[in-house]
Amino acid sequence: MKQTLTFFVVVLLVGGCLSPPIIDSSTLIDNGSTNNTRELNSKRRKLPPEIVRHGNPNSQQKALVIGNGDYDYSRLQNPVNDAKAMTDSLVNLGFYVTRATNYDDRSMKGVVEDFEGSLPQNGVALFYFSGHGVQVDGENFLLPVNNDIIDREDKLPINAVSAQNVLAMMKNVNKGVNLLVLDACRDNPYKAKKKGGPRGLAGMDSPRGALIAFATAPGQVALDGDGYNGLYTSHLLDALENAKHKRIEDVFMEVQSPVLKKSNGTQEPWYQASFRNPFCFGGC
Amino acid sequence: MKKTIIYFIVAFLVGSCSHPTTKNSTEISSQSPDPKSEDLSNPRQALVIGNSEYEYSPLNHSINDVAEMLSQMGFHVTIEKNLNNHSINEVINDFGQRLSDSQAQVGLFYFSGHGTWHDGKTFLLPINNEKIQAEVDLKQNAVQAKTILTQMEKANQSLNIVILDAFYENPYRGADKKSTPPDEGAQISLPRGSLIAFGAAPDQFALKSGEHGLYTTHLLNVLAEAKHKRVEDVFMETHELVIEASQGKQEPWYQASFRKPFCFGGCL
Repeated sequence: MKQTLTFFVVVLLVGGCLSPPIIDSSTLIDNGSTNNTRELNSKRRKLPPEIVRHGNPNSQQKALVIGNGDYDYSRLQNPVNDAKAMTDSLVNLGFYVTRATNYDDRSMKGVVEDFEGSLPQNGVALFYFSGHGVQVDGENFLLPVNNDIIDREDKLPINAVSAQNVLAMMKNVNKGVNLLVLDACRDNPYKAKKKGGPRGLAGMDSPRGALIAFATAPGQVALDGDGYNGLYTSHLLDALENAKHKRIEDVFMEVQSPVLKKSNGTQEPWYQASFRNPFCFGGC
Repeated sequence: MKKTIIYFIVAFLVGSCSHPTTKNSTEISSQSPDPKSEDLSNPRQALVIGNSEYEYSPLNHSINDVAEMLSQMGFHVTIEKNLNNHSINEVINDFGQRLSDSQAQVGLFYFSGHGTWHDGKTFLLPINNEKIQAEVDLKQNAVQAKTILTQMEKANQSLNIVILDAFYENPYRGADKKSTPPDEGAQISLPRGSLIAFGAAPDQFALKSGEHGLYTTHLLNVLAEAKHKRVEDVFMETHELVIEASQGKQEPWYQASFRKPFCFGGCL
């Protein structure tokens, strides 16, 4: 009984997201209704992780772009494409971009550490993640592709990457502008266990000199798969195209209404900013 | 647990029965000579609270200039001074009601008085702070900053601004035995369409300047020229000025999450 319960939670963890999982012949995940199909993906050949660097390495604008799509459970179609498009867009804005796709827990932690080492002290740092995310007790965890190892909530701090920690690290090294953009669902899989607990206001603190942007509102229950994967990123890409000399807040404000509209009001992107000085890509 | 429930019921009873006839309450309005009719037609509503006559560790500052400034900026301003725990909650509830009755487009809350933190949350202290002997007393005897924002957001989904010029020094008896402050001020995740500004980081002692806190003094100066400035810029400018004037000892900060740009006199 206990086993079943635990397993159920795991599937919810990865399944309660915005985007429908890709179901191919070797993965028989019946998303939503049953969760007793654990055998599956052992046979499926996983896509290899990939890391690519683009742009001018001497740039004072550094970005780490992670796109995780080939999950053990509940694969996602668009994160890798999102990561590629986002990389191009950021290179155009003058960033030196490290793009990592389909990373497991160890390589995710490694690439974040490398990113820390590469950060300027007073420049612009941007972290972008597209993939599965989980929000527990106000902390946001970004899941590695080997999410089959996360079968309990207490494994999240060990095997997933905490967005809070990433931001704290960025802020610690770079006293300039830090941007954190998450295109991931933040459904709390334990919500049912915590009736009456705080909802809606469980997000992240943005320290001075930082902007945090999420594809959905804090505490907002994510859509359960209506083919809107990449909706947020695709509109963000549009906004970034004309972002030069625009206030960064405006760029993220621009994304809100088209996403809200296209999701029939169910997904409203959110950002929170706290700056010392106005910031625009390319100068205000 | 039983105790808590009883307390809540009692609070509810008294909260819904008594009518606020706070003697210190004043209403000022920019245009209309008849404040009653103007009250609810103004889409800009402000609540200004100044607590100084504390039972323990009284303060000495004025909020009249803030109210005056806001009224010049087109707000209908409700001024409240020296509120105890019961009346501060009542006043905040009434303000929420006012925001919703007036279909406010801009709600603004300003507080000057003692503030403190506990468990990562910022609290505003009522003047009867002798009831607070330890951190655990805060929950029942003080107001959480987040509560105000939540109340405002329930009533007005357009734009809400919360400005806290709180004095964190010696806010209640026994406050020196406090736990370490939260990393970056109290963690608040904002609802869309809101801005919250803090006069100082929680582990800093807010400085005074004339009859205001240093923060409010600079804020008033910046607001006087704010017309078509982005509201974020108003706070950024104020913050730079305070940091400069205090030589880095006092660092105000703000957080904002908007749907569209906002300037008090309209953005150009």
